[in-house]
This record gives sequence, structure tokens and C-alpha cells, in this order.
Amino acid sequence: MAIVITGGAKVDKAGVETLHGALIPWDSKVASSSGSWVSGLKGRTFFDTPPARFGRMDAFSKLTVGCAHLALKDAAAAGSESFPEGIVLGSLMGCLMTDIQYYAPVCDKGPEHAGPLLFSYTLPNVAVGEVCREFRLFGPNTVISCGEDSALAALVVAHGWLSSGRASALLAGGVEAVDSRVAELCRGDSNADIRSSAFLFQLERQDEPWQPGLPTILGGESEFSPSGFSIERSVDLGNTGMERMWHMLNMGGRGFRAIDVRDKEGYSSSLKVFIDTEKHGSTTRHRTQIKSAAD
Amino acid sequence: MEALQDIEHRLKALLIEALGFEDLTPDDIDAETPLFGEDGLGLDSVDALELVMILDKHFGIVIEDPEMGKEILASIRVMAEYVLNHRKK
Repeated sequence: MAIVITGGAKVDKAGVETLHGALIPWDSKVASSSGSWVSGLKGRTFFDTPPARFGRMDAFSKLTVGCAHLALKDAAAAGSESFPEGIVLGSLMGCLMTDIQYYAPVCDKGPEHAGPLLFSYTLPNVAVGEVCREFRLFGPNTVISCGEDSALAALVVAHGWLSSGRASALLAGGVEAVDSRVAELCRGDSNADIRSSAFLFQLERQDEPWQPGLPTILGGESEFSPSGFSIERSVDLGNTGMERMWHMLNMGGRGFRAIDVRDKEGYSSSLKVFIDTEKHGSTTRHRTQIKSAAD
Repeated sequence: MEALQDIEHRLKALLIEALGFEDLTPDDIDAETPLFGEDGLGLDSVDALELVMILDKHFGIVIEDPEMGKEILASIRVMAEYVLNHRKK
């Protein structure tokens, strides 16, 4: 039995990228927006036919749903015959950006300025609810917010659920939606630079015989941090570990890789991945084509 | 005084903005299409609250009776007619 990564997608200000596909340039209008780029996300960035609900979602949900769609497409394009039953999402900031957007006018002008639609998105698990609703996932789902190792912790939890048979396939990863106010809140005295991004992977339990060449998550450990926003390190904040994992998966090679994330109080998540792309050269992670924004 | 058609256009634009309909323009919405239900625009109860806020914020109309709200929010046409006769802004 093995827990394998059959597909994945990454979304950040630089663009959209899938594990088995090409780098897709970002919409130039989004990339050059003076505000937070996640605030300007459109459905057509991710979907040929965007879901009717996409426009009303908050930035955190849009990023999660869009990235999930691409991860699912990537896995299917790579030949996966499985479909996830649920999703495990990790996030350091969660829907804090939305919470601030909702409460700022209320505090400034009074409760009559509370927006009903925005209120719907003031809990981070609404984003996974939107994913489950859009893609009809009826299995287990949760959001883990435990500090900067939340995304890795999500992968560890997903690995556990798959290994125990709670599900046979899951989406798992991390999403951060950040604007200037959120970034300022978590910057504190550490000069840390948190960035918006989304990383989602399709994980599957495969019984013998394995499908060779797929990255395999061997297991992980996670000790949830009670310190929450006490961030010390100044690099790769938020989705910590995901950028490293993405780079590692794209590099390929053969062997074990461990990703460790530790906060200043010593709590950590650790994930071990086995990569074997030398065995089967057909595994493609080459960026051979760049689609123009007009395509 | 704002004409009925102008009010309808304004309501459509406000609805599109408030509910995040990315691919719709005011001209895409028929004023007599039901706003709720599968045969209409497909709005839900949270959307109804947004429409109530639009009427209050932009036209000074306060809807306190839910039953009255159901009648007023039937379609853009019905809303516009109510605004024409009851607006305070």
C-alpha cells in the first residue's frame, strides 16, 4: 500500500502551474494590480466555464476552488482514474483577510454596514465547503490552522486518513490569501513577508502493484503549534514547505526527501516523500509550452 | 425624477456588483425574470439580504417584514416599481 501524489497545482502571483503540465502565464491585469492580486481573481483564470457561484466567493475560497479544479484536471490528465472523496486544507491565515473586510466597515460605520454575503465567508472551512459543493466531494474534509506548518500538517493528516482507509483519494495542501492588512498583522517584529499562494495535491491510496514513477508520501509527523502567529523566520512564510515540496517534485530524481518545518517554539511538521522519476522517463514535468494569456 | 427603466438598469448593475456575477451585464438580465427559484436567476436567501441592503443603502427603503420582502424582491421590475413609489433617496 502506498500514498501517492497523482496530480497537483500551484497558484501564486507569478502564475498558475500544474505538476504534469505547462506553466500558464498569469493574466497581466491581475499581475499588475496595485492591490492584492487575490482580490482580482476571476473564474476564467481557472475554468473554461466558471461556476456560477465563483464571483460571489471571497478571495480565500476563490483561490482554493480554482486551485482544486486545476489539481483535479492535472491528475486526470496524468491518467489517474480516481477522484477525491474529500479535502484536507492547511492555512496559516485562513479567512482573516475576509474577516477584516467584513468587520472594518462595521467598526467604522456601524452594524448596518455588515455585508450578508461576505459574512458567509468569515470561517475558513467555508472554502472547503465550496470545493466539496462544486466538485461533489462527499467524504471527510477539514481545515487545519496550526501556525506556519499548517499546509504540511494537512498533508500529514491526509496521509493518515488514506492509510487508515478513511478515504481512498483526497485533495490536500495549503492556501493563503493575504492583503496588505493581513501581511502587516503577521509581520510584527520579524520583517516576515507572507504571500498569497495555493498548493493542492491529489493524493491516492494505491494497493499493490504500485504505479511506478509517482511521488510517494511515506509518512509524516506533526505536532501542532500553539503559538499560532508567533513567526520568527523571514522567508517562505505561509505555505511554508509547499514551495520547497513543489520544487522538489519538479526536480524529480530518485530518493527520499524530507521536508521539515519548525517554528520558534520547536513545534514542527515533518513529511517524507519518495521520488523516483529516473525509473520511468515518461514522467513529464517539463515546461515546454507557454500559453499566451489570449489562448 | 429617475425613470422606471433607469431604476431597473441601476438595480441590475447593483445586483451584479453585489453578488459577483462576473459574466453578466445589466442587458443580460430580463427585468421580469424571477430573481429566486430554479426558473429564475437562482438567487438564495443570503442574496436576498444583500438586495435588502441595496434598497436601504441606495434608495432609503427599509424592509422589515419578511413577507413584504418576498413580494418586493420578486423581480427587478417589481423592485423598480416599488423604488419609484417609495424611495426616500
